[in-house]
Amino acid sequence: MELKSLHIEATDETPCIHFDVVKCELTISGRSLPENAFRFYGPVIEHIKFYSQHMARQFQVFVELEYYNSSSGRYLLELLGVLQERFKSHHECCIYWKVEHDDELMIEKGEELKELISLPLEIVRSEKL
Amino acid sequence: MVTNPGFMKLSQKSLLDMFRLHSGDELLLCYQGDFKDMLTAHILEISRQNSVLQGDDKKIGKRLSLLLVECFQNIIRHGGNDQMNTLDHSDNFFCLRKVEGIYYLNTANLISKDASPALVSLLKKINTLDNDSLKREYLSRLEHAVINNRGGAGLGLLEMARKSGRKILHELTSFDENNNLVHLQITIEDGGGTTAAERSWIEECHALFKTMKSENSSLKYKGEISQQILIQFLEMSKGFFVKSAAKSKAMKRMTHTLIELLQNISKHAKLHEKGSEGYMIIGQKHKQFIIEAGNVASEKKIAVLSDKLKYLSQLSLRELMELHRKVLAASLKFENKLNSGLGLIEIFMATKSKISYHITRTNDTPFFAISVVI
Repeated sequence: MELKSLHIEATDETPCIHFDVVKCELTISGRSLPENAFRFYGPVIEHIKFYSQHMARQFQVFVELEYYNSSSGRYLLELLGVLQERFKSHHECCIYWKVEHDDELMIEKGEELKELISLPLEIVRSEKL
Repeated sequence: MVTNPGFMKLSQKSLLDMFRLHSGDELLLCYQGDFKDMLTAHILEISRQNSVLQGDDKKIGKRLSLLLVECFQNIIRHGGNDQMNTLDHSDNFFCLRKVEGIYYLNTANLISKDASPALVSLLKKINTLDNDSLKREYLSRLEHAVINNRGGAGLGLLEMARKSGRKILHELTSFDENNNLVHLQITIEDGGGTTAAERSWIEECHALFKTMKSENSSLKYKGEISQQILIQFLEMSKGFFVKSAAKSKAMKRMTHTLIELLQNISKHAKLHEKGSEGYMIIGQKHKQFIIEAGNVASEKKIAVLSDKLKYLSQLSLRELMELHRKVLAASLKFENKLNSGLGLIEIFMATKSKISYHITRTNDTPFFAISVVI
């Protein structure tokens, strides 16, 4: 079976999604404020759910969001839940939650997700996203 | 009304006043402050989106865009205090209003008393010219006129008159010893070329400008709330912040809050398939930003919203975070996140509960207003 990568360019209201099956990486970057987050994240979640079953190597997730709305938050959690289900052993998947060093709200959101999922989540503070 | 400790109210009354005075307007967009080129692009897009959503004739939308650009260039070029040789941007004002299908563009900016007679004389002359004469005058000035020290030759005013097809209403009021405040009004007639009664909003706009200055508000808006309009407001709001570490934090909080507030209106104040109607004021007081937002909603929706706000306002930040976590986890059990209340909790978290709300009724129409402090 051929594994398929997924790349969705960022728009004014949705983030860039880059799912690389060779590198075993998923990157979500930009900003996410669609009114109907299900319409955007639904197909992404389905794609990753399907192909992640066939991925052998350690998986890495990079979340580099400037901001996201409450509706997107629900689907980000679902997406991470899919990966949690697939990579039950904590060492097989790691999430890097990249934030600007002074963005208290995005840091709080990362910490909240850390409590809600059992995968390792590292908050990476940087000068600029 | 709920007022939390530490909350400083700008003037929630102003949003309620806005509802009372402008509920009949199809669009109201006022700005006072620093006029940068970037602002032009955002205002243009907001007005374009409103025009499209309200089903204007495309020609009107195009003419509106052209006139907006001319108005902004006029303010950017001439706005400021000549005598002081510094630009006092807070004395510049812009208002776009749509009433009964007619657009009105009102501007106010300072002009030195020395330069005032020439401007008045030019405006008077322009108002006597028909379209062909306006074109001839424009071409003649393009060829022969001397550009003044602000980069203008009256071409902008001639263009405005040509594109609007109406007289440029104007009024000068003394501002101080050396300067006048010049008010201009451009009217954009409807597509059929009918001549609706000439209506001057100059006095009303002057009062609006004075109110905005006294309450230190930068933006007043009544119109469509859609995703594209929300994005323009997000970008525009970034311009309100002077770069500094503290401001950067505040800007991020403002961004989160604006998204949730406006999407809440968009969701709950549906007017038609594509958009919703909302009211908003952004202002500043004691180095804090105040956002007021409101919309007309059903009694039932207002009752539900009031209950939620009443409950949330009693919670500490820690309790809000705990509640958010629980609601977020629970939301996974539903296929689509609707009315989970996550957005409201996030507004409380982002503003540290500096929130107040008010419900008023005009002619039995319930109006819900919320104020937050960043």
